[in-house]
Amino acid sequence: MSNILEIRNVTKIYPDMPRPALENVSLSLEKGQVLSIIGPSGSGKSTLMRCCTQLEKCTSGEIEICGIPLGKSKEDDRKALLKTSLVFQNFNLFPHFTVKRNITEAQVKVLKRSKEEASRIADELLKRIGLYDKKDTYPCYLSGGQAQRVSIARSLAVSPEIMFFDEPTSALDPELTGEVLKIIKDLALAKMTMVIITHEMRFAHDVSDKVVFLENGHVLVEGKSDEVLGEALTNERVRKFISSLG
Amino acid sequence: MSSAVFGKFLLQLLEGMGVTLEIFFLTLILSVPLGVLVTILRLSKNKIVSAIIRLYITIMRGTPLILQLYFFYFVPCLMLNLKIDKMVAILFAMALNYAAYFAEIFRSGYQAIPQGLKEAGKVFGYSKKQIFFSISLPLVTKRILPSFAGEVITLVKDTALVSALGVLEMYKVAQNVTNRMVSPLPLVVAGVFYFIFNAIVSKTFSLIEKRFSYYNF
Repeated sequence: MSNILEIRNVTKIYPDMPRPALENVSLSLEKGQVLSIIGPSGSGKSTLMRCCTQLEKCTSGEIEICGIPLGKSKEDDRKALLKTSLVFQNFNLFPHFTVKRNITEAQVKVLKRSKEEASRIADELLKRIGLYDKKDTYPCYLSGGQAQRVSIARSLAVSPEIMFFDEPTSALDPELTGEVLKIIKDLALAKMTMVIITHEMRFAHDVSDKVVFLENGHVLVEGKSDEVLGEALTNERVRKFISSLG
Repeated sequence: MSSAVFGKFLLQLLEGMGVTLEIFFLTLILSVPLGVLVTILRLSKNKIVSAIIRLYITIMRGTPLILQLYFFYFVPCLMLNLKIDKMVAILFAMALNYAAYFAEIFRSGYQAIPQGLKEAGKVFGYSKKQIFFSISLPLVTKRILPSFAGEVITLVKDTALVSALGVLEMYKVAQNVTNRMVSPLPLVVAGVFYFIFNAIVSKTFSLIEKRFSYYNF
């Protein structure tokens, strides 16, 4: 089966940092699979995600999205970009657009869908995340959980082949994380291909096919969800990290 | 002061006000686009360009406007023997001065936009132009309105500096009449005119701010 995401020997060096943010990282993900990336802060989780979504260029190594290599040609980069989407830790909803326009804007401006179609898709998504009644509200009037759900809808609206989540619940109050995790779980059941950076270990265990533990820019442990996080948890470093989360 | 004399004074003052308004609006129309250009050059990745622009901003903000007015009037006219219309020299100095202030306001507004919003635009495939016009520009506008309004209010009052070059704008008229009549009344009347002018400017900007108040970021 062909991989949706293929990362080969990726290294990322920032000019003013003493050590590489990523060093020789290789990963792959099949269609419909969910990969969780865990690890301490500064381990390179976000950098890896930013390289996959073209917010950064990796220094060496290869990344392929649906078989399209990144950084080779502008046309390919653009094609790959339209197959990915990213849910940010702090939402980054456009503050001057209503909730609904946040979901329709890229469909119309980038994908060139008709306004009617974009509107229909937005309404469907808003109903799915339970926020149809908030469609004319501006983002500043939403709770963190609602804002993150809208941001997920915005990402879904552009019909990505693979979705990236950069700590989607880290900016939320503990009571609000549940509503966001539930939507991500539903997406996993619907076989959406996803890469998720998270500190929610139980969630990562339940939702993921694969789990990767990153430290100091290296893949320290990689395996099936159960192997890395389940009862049989064997790696001492991972065990220490998880117990440090409390 | 007889009512006939006062009536004549008011007429002169109105004429002066016309000149004041002319300087005000022309400076504004020239300095805002110039300020945008200066901002773009100031943020340029070319270090030489950005250094030159920084020097220009430092000089314009670091020396008195009245000195700049004299400089741009006397250097071409008296030293280089060029025939330059006084008004042109004045507008040149005013526009260069205000563009420097506006550029710093625009820059601070642009840099205050959360990086993540531009990144969201990028991730969703917006072009650079789309990111600028549909995300950055509306947000910068909202962000800078209060400090921009403050600068425009200062501009209203700074038009009086032009009197030093003998231009018969509102302040110069009031000053002349005060000297002639040996009465402070003309200055008071001119003061009231400036005050009303700025009240209108303030009100206009608070209405614009209100139009942008439907969201926060």
